[in-house]
Amino acid sequence: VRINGIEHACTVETRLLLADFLRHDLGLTGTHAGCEHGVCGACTVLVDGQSVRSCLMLAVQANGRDVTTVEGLSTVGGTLNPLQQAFWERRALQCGFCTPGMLMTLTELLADNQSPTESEIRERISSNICRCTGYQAIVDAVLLMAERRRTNREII
Amino acid sequence: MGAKWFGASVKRKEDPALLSGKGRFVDDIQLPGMLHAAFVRSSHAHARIRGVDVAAARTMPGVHLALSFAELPQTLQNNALPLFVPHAAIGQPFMPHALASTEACYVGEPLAVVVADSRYLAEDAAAAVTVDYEPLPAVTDCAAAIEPASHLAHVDASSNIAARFPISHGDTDKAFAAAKHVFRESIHLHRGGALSLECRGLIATHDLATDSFTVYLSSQGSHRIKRAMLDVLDLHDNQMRVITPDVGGGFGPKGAFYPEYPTIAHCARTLKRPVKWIEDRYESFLATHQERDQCWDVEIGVDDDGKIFGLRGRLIHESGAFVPWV
Repeated sequence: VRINGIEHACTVETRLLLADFLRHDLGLTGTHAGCEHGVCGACTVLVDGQSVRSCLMLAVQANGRDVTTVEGLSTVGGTLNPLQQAFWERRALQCGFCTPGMLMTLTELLADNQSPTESEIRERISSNICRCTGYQAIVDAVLLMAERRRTNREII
Repeated sequence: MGAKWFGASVKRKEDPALLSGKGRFVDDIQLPGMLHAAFVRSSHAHARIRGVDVAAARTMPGVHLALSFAELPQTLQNNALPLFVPHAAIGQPFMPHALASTEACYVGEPLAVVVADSRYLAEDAAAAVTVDYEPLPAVTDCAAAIEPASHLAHVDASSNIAARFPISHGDTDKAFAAAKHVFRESIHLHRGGALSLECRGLIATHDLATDSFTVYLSSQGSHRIKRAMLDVLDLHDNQMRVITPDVGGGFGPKGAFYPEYPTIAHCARTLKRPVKWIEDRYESFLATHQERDQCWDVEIGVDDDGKIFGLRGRLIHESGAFVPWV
């Protein structure tokens, strides 16, 4: 399996969840387990570019696939990508627990749609629960990023 | 602090780590040699526990320890969890033990713990623990619970009333006599659940050289948790350090003290290895504190203009089977 661009060859129990494989076997603890039954979206990762619930997918199902987690969004040096930067500027996180899932869900949206509208953003993040209820700020952050894309301004 | 911060839009310093997957929540912490715990919980709202058999669980793959109340040390058999908010009015201060002994009083009450090489193996073994229940009538409605004919939430309770708090201010009878209109209302407020996105959880380690614990715990107040841990485990002040790492929401319930905490500390001391327990969502629905049902009967006395003369009434506040946070 290829994770954030790095090949891993591992032997795991068939029942091991992808979320637990990422978190416990590989130490990629940015992916969070919130509800463990596919409702909250905190464990969202991209598999071949598509968002999936890593708490509902077995690690063995990721065999030969390309997985991206929140750790794969920023550079190795730690520079935040434009979406992460917009989240920071618009205070789109409080406790930070839902944040990785929100970022991965929105990464998929922004790959499909250069300039999503507010209602498109709201519909997409309806798959993710934020118990600090930072939804408005999250929508604001994505709108800021879309605006920057349209005007092609430097991300500050 | 410089004046430049007033009115300024300031970015939070903790955000870059949380945005790039480098937060440190309790389940993100891996200690060398760490083992994993799972609990066996009551499937009955009220039952006498005739016996808990952990023998089969102990033979399961990867299992290091399986305990019921009978195998707990004397301290944890004697000491119930301390009252977190003591008050002289609490006439029946029922508090749970680390594991239930002869009576289970709510669905989800911990009855046994299993520690294994992984959470998967711990859950496998927890399923092999057998509990001999004698179901008892459950008390599920707080208004009915205070009637004299009600079943009891605890077999040795004198009634289902933990405390009465009469409060008054001024001459209410006089105020109502002067009021032109009196309105009465009965209001029921259901108990909400806080449901933080990160469930509860802790890691306990015990250092033999200093006979002291270090506990990493998703909490809303490490000092109060430390005090309760010291009290229930009969320890001195220097024998417990509680560290609260990043917390994925608390909203109240993570400020309280729970049976799992001293149980996990005891497991770590017994095994001489760090032990982690991370609550799953199913456990969280059952065993993390929720709000309290409220039944209000209130009346208000007013004049023609709606000016309030007096307010009086009664509130029945459901605390559950125990009084963890009255």
